[in-house]
Amino acid sequence: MTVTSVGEHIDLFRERFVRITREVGKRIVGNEDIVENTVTALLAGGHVLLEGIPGVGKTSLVHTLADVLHLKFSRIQFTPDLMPADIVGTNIVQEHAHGGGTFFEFQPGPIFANVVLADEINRATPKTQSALLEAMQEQSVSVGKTTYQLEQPFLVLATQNPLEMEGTYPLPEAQLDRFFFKLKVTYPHEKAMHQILERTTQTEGTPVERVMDGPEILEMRHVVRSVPIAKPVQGYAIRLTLGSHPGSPYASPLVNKYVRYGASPRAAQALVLAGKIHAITRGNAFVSAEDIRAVAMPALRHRLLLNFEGEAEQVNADTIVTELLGAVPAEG
Amino acid sequence: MPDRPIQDLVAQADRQRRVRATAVYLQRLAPIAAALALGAGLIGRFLLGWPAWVGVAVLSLAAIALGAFTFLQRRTRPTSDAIASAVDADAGLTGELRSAHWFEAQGDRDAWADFHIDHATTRARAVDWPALYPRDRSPRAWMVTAVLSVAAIALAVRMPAPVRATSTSAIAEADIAPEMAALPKDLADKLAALLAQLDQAAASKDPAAKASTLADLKDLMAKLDPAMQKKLADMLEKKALEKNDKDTNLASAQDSRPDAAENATAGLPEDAKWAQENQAAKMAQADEKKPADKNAAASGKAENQKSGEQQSQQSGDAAAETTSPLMREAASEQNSKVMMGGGGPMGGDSRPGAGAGNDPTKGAAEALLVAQALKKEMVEANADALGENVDKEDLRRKTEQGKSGLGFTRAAAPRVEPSRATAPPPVPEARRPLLFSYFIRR
Repeated sequence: MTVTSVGEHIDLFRERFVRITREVGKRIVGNEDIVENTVTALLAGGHVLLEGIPGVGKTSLVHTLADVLHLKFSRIQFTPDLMPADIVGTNIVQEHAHGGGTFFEFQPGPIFANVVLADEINRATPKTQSALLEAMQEQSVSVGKTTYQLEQPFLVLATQNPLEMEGTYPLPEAQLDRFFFKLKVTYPHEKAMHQILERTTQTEGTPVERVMDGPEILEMRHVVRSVPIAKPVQGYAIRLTLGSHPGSPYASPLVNKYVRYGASPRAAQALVLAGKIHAITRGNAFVSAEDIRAVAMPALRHRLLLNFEGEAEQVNADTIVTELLGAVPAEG
Repeated sequence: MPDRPIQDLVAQADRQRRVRATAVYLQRLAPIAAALALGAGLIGRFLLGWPAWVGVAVLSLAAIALGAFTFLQRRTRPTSDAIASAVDADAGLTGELRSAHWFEAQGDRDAWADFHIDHATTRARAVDWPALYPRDRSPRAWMVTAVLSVAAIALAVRMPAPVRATSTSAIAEADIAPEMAALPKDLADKLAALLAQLDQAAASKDPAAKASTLADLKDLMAKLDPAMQKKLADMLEKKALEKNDKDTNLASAQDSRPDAAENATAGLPEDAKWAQENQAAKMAQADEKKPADKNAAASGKAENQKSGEQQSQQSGDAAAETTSPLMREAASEQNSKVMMGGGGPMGGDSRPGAGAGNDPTKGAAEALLVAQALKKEMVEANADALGENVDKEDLRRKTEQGKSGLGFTRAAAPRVEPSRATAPPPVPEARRPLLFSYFIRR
């Protein structure tokens, strides 16, 4: 790669990124930052937890993204009686065609797709939720003695409803940590509501084009990892991660008061990777502290484990992250 | 093209930034320094009696310090990430300069880093650094500095030699005895001021001012602890004796004493008037016999300790004071204050050499003792103490007898509880261990 080709790579990356978000934006109205962050997670190789009240377009977003990306899509509706085998697949007994006896054949589950929608993930038991752990981290599934690699790109988009807590199982910390971003889908504002109604009640539905495929996404992932980051900026990401731990020299007062455990090193990875994508989508060949700061909220908010006092006082993790961003200096 | 364009650009920008910041500091500090120099010259020369060159010296020191500060700030320094970050933020380069500054310092670079540095260099060169860090010129501040500096120098060169002023505090410090060193600063100052005021009142022979000062002195002394009061009283007494020795106008004071006593008896009952006139006559007779020199007074001191009669006959004025503190007050102050004069329990001043009825400081010492005695009485009264002469044991017994209204009937308890119709059945022997284990927890 030469110096001139770097510029071309950056321009191409930006152009593709904008194409995806613009195409998704044809169907999803009013949540541009959600769309942008979802594509960011896809290009970083991470998974996204979408949290929002029913009817704000979480499932529609995932459907639209799968349509735009020309990727294999599957949906798993999580229920309390869902079993791990229903997700990863199972070995079933088959008979040979000419009567030569029986044999076990692996029947892949819905996890074998590029984009997996885990709808209402917190309605399944932790046992079933944990079936996603290996797939999300290792991009592979083990059934019996056999490990099956998942097709790349692989992206899990999980949704959960924050209101209905009865009959739900909160995600374990280990699984929460495996989500690259946690995005909060908010209620659309008035102008966006007009657009939603016009698009959904006057026509059959807005068609979207398939603007990209799997290999192009993998190429974009490679470009992302080439973006250089200076040590002082990387140090800022590390300080932010360490600052989320109570007792750390970078910890803010709210962290010390309400946080039991802070973010893991995966959070620092997410900060740097998402910062790189944020930088390159703005035409920069470098990562600045401002890029890290821009992606800190979705990367850190689900990785803060509150203590009893924080839970009792219903402290919002976003408040803690906001204070942390103000407290940790960009210069080390 | 320099080898490290980003480092050089950052260093230049940082220097311009520091020069501007230094100018701002100088414009703030220079007038203050000049004002301080002028103020030091004025105060030192006219109030503290310092030499004339002090103001100029302060001005020179300030100029040297500010010059050194300016020199250090204008030096070219090696750049750091913090400096690059600050310059980057000022220029609005969104972190590109800072990041490129770090990558440029690294040895091996890939195409992405080179692209980044090239891009950052182009952007940084496009910044108008002199416009970003303009020279902040403020002629007003420099004009004020110049005027103040000229005034400080003119003060040293042109102004006449200062006349050293003596303040009240200086006098007070001279009068303050070593015992007062243990007092808090404000109390010591106040006490010294009152003593000086008392001296002035005595010198001007203004009884009203003296009485007022004495009252203030009593109030102040009442705030001190008894040990300190005693020490100060001794000090005042000593001082009074010294003054008494130096008093050369004793005769005129003696002549005026009967007149003062006559004036002081106005408004008193007849028997009191007679007693005072009698005492005044005795004092006059004693004064005629009194030797005028200091040795006689000293010998009178020694003999006073042996006998009250000898005291009254031999120690002259001191003896008269001892026998009649009431007369002393009346004769010296011309207002008929009836008060106990000494430190003794019955009011008699039996201390050796406690004379010098005309001496105002002596009056202050006695007033101090009176205040001390009154304070003690007041404290005891407020505390409602029983006093040492009350038999506490008797009081306690009486109190117990007075409250012993509760009686004890020594009647025996009934054998059978009246609420039950019949006595409870005896516990069978077989169930007894079970019953014990139920009620007795181990």
